[in-house]
Amino acid sequence: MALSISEQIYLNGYAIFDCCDMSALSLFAKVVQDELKTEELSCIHTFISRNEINKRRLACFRALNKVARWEDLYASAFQNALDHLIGPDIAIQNKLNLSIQMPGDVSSVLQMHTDSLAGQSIFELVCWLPLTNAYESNSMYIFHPDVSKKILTDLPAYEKQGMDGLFAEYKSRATFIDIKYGQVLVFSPTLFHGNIVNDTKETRISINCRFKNIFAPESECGERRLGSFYRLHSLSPLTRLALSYRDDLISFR
Amino acid sequence: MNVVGYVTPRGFGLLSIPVPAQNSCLREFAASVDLPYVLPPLEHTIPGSYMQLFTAINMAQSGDIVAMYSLLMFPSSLVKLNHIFELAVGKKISFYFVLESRYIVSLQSFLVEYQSYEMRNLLDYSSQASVESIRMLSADA
Repeated sequence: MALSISEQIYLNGYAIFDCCDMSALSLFAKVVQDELKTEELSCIHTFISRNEINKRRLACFRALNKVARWEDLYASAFQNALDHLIGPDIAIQNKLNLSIQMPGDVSSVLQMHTDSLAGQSIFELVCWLPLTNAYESNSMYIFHPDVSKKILTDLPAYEKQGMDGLFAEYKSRATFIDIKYGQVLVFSPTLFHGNIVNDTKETRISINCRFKNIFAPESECGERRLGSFYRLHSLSPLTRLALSYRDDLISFR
Repeated sequence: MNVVGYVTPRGFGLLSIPVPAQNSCLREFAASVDLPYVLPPLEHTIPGSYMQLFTAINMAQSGDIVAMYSLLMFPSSLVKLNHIFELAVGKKISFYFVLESRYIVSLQSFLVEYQSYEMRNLLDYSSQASVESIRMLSADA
């Protein structure tokens, strides 16, 4: 029997499950297909050069972020995970990000990192929506929570070698995500992840965005906070009621 | 159509962004939407002054976008906000905020966006549990 989202998160720190709203997925895919003028997103490397790809990626990024109510659509694609892991009081990252990994493109490699080390709340959920199949080196790799903790403790020792040096030490323990179009991935921002040069014959395209519970702790300073990095997405009826409660207006004088 | 920039030497929220950095972001935004960039009025350092914001709004022509780094650079006074959006709606100009990635055309939509900051301020004011205190609870359990 397949593991539930919660069981997968508990065991691996990430979970793969069927997209909860295929129409939302189709709409996002259509926006990118229209922008790149093809229905075969995994083949764009046959007519877009590596020099040109970042300009095209930015055009797709802008088009995706112009989609009306993209926040609701993106949330609906991950609804099961949001219900199980975040709750009804939700903040969403204020933009969708887009990743395009064409075969042989060294300019799009994102080195090993964690989102929490960049200042994001350790309680957020990273939500990854592939618009193509992702597998082997065209996908992203991720480290198990236990390995991620070990890598974290090794950071000071590898300061001078940088993250590439640390990745070289641990790469044999990386898991490359194998996920089909129609499935989604969620993972903890505390896990080390990244990608390497795509040596498959297919391009991978994926969207990512983050959710957190509004009341979960976040950075006390800097930009990765509610307002500047996350925005209110939904409030539970109970929270709305609580916020409308005004005992401060009562006086017994 | 142009992008009219607006920059400030004052801090906003918990951020203090050097003016050249604000300018670079605005220039990049203008390039991303393929519009000419009009050099930005620099706000006065005097707290509460929004004179140069009004200068930017007055400079803008119909259809222009007045762009700035964050919506926290707007005044919090509802009277001033009303005045700003009356001018903006009358001139058919919009505002763009780089940090929040948002176009705003009305006071109502501005206030909706501002709710996220209000909630954050409320949580800060209420001294919500820190990660450290949650770790201690977890260790005690």
